[in-house]
Amino acid sequence: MTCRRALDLDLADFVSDAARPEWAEFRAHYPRCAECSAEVRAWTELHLSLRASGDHPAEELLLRFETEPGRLPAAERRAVEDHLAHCASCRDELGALRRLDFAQLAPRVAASTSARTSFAEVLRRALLHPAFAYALVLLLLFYPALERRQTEREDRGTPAAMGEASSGGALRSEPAKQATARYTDEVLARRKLDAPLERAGRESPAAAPTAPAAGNLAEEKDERAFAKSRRSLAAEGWRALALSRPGAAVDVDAASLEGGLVLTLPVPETTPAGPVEVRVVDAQAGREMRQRFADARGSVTMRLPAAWLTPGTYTAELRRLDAETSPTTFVFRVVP
Amino acid sequence: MAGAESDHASVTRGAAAVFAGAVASARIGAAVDRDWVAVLGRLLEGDRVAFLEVNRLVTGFLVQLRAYDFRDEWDDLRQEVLASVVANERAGRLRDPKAFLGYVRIITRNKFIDRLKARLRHHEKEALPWDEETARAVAAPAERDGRVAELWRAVRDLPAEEQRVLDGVYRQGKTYEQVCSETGLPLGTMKRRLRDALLALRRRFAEDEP
Repeated sequence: MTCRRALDLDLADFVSDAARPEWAEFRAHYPRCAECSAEVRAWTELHLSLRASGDHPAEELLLRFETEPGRLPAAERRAVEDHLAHCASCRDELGALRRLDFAQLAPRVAASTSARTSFAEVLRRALLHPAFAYALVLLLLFYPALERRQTEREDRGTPAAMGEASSGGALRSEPAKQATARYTDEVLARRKLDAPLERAGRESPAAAPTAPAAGNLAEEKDERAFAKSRRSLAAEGWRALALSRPGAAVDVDAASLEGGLVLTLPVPETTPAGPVEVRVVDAQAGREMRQRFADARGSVTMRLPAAWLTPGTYTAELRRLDAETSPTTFVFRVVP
Repeated sequence: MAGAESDHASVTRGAAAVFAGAVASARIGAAVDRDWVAVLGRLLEGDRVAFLEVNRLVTGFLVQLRAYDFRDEWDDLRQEVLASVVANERAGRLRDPKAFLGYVRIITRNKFIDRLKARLRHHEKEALPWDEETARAVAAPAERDGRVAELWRAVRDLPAEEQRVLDGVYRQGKTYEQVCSETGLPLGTMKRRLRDALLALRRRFAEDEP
């Protein structure tokens, strides 16, 4: 033991009334001192264990005292007043009650009844959702480029299509329309998978975006837009967890998983790029989630929605699909 | 002084009828049997009593963490904990009533320690001794709850005067002045008896600590 202050001081007195000015120096000292911290904890536990049979006003009584003191019997009112005079924690709780804006809870009440909302209301919310607006912007931005690209492909394809395109002017061929529709559907689908609404856990995590085809400005812009979207999601409550190596479990606070977990695992450097599979297993609940990555190099990222991540221990196995190698196993815990 | 004493006496006399039995750590002990899922449901509907119930639970943990050594009030911290509780309840992650107390205990501790480190200008990644001690305290609350009866049995082995002082201060929640008045001990002597009693209990139970 290097510090003896806790042994030299009267800690029985300290735990009884640590707020007194003469204890100010020790209050500043003990949190940083291992020996004194241990002594203070032991004394505090003793003190609190002994105080177990003390009394505080019931919550209902405290509320009545606050909201309708005139209707309380005089003896009860007097008793609460006397108690508050020497009980800092009850004064503190009453202060919190006074400061709480109960209107803050109102939207939550609305949210809790959302299952009963009408289809029109659901549709209205979907249309007003930023993800929908963003998808529309994407569609408008890339629509001309897509159309050009599809027309060029068809131009290189069949002479008949060339003739039709030439003669049709601005009109598009039916295959072009279908291809454009497929692409825009894909864009919308990918945006939908990334949308924060997914945090409710209705869908499995989004697939990792594939690398864009080289030389296509529209697709590069598209990819940048998705990257921006991912950053935005992180800002909206997705917790990033990068596990650098297998070993001890890493704890993740469940409360920080508003949206979910963006799990990044390293692909071993000695491994040439190739297909890998990540399998996240909740052994206790017998659940698992898998995702495959076609051309993994450096690291892979997988999203796990918060609704799926109940408190418990999870293993994440990274396995090559084109070679007979043992999977690399990582562990993380979601703590309540 | 006489007036003050009679005031306190009326509190004590009226306590059994007026107050519910629960304080500090016992607040947490009493909370174990409560249906917290129902309490949260009421809180989400704007029930103020439910707010006080959750608030009191958090206060109990703050007392356990000695949070009041570092700040007079922790309203912002409590609000943050409350927000986390409500968010997790809405996300359906707090359906197990047994897990509720553990969740609130840990979230309160984590948020408190974060703020304490900031206040002490302690590097976030460096270990703070009080952080480690609170982790131990949080990890074994049930053990402590079970130790209360054992502790009071040990009190019976103390000298009679020390037993009376402990009983007055802790069991009956009386002020030092009231205990002095009832025992006839001068204040200095009463404090010495209290300290000796606590020290004896501390030494006895220190042997059981790891």
